[in-house]
Amino acid sequence: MSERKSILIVDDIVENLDLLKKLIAETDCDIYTSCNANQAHQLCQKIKFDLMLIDVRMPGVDGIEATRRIRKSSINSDSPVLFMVAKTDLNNISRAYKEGGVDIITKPFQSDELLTRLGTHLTLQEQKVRLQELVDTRDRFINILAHDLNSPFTTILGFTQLLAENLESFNKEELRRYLNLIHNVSENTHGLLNNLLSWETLKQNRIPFSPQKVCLRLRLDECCLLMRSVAAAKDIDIVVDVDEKIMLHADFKMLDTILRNLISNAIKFTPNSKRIIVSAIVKKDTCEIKISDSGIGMSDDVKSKLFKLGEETSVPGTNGEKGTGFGLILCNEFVRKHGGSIRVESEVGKGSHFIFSLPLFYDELSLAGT
Amino acid sequence: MDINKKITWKAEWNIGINRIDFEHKIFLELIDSLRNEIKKNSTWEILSRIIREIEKYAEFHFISEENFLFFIDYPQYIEHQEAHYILLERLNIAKHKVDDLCELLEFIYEWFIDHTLKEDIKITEYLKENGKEYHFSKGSGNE
Repeated sequence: MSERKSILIVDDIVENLDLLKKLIAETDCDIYTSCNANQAHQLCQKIKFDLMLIDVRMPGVDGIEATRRIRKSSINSDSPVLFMVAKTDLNNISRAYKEGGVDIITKPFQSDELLTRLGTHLTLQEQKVRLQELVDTRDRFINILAHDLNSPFTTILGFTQLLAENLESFNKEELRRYLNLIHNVSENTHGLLNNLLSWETLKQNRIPFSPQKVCLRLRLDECCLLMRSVAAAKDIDIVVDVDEKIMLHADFKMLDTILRNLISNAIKFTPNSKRIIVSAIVKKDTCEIKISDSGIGMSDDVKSKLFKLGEETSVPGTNGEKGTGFGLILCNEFVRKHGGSIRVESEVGKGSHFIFSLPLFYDELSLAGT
Repeated sequence: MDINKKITWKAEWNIGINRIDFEHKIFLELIDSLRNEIKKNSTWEILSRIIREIEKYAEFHFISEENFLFFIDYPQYIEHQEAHYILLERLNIAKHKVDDLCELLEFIYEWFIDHTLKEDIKITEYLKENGKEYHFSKGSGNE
């Protein structure tokens, strides 16, 4: 299994909690315990569990009612529940299945059987989440293909037809303007296609991941060179404040994609004649790269959806530039592939800072710290 | 509890209902088998087999006893059933905490005697007080 799992155990008998905790500790999961329904409900507001092991017979609110409450109002509405019931408690055994428990652990139990069942349900849950992700990706793809790839064609087809039919009636300046427009739309669309393809190959594990020593400054300079015309069109100045000694241990193609997406986003959301600042801070064995714009910023709601698939987050830029909200998802995947993380700090009207971390190149660790 | 001393049935444990007494006797024999294997320093495989047998017999016996209580309209049926659930919980905790096998044996022995003397004896009292005859299925004749 890839990531560390979280398991919640709910039982009113402390000795049971201790026993289960001890047994499940072998599985290398993060274990949380709670001895009543209220406490469990509170925990469920904060932590998303991969599995919940809930005792049915508890004084006051029993395990089944507790599960109903958790499902109704918490982030764990679809987390699988295994109910624990005394072997001879036949009524509660059938109640537990009716309430949608994925399985029942009867007491007394055999520890190896308990662990095997937990393992099976953790795997099933992981597969379920993965499948949902795949379905979301497909949906997103279809959505993008249907809408976002369609609209640039309207522009391209409309203007090429206009030019073809009335070529003689335009002067040179007008022709240049229309051709530039067609070019810009094509370039944007091409960028989107590249992102889509990268994403697809990454999802199918066909994208080679080969981290090597990469000079961050060099990649940034190249990226800015490519972005210059777009930035110039809005009279935006890109300031790169990054030490050229910083060497990352990164896949440079992925790094380029991350930088390209974040900088082009920054341009998109920054009003004309403002600045974008790219800076980097060396931490222990990672480097934090920050791309700050003085743009329109975003609300907490938008922020929370930014890196998630299946959520429509695309917002037009300050000059009505179109996007798909796909670039950030790709950035997130690429950063995670490096073992890093990405986050956003933003306030409406005050601009946004996109901050991501990537590992430093090993040999440079000591040097970079100085 | 003396590990070398065979556990034998005592007349005072009879609750006076033949079948329940009979099942209790088998249960006690199982506890004695466990004692005997612990005494012989038997392997964990053998011990765990007997512990599992005790567990299974407890489940069987509890359901058997609960059915009987149901047929005689025992007023504390729910409470008695709950006591059984709690016993199973306690057995589960005890069997997973075996650092000292004698301790487990003692636990199971006490667990059984305590329940028999305190709870099961109430069944006889109820039958006597209410002048009830007992039977092991709804509507059937006397035992």
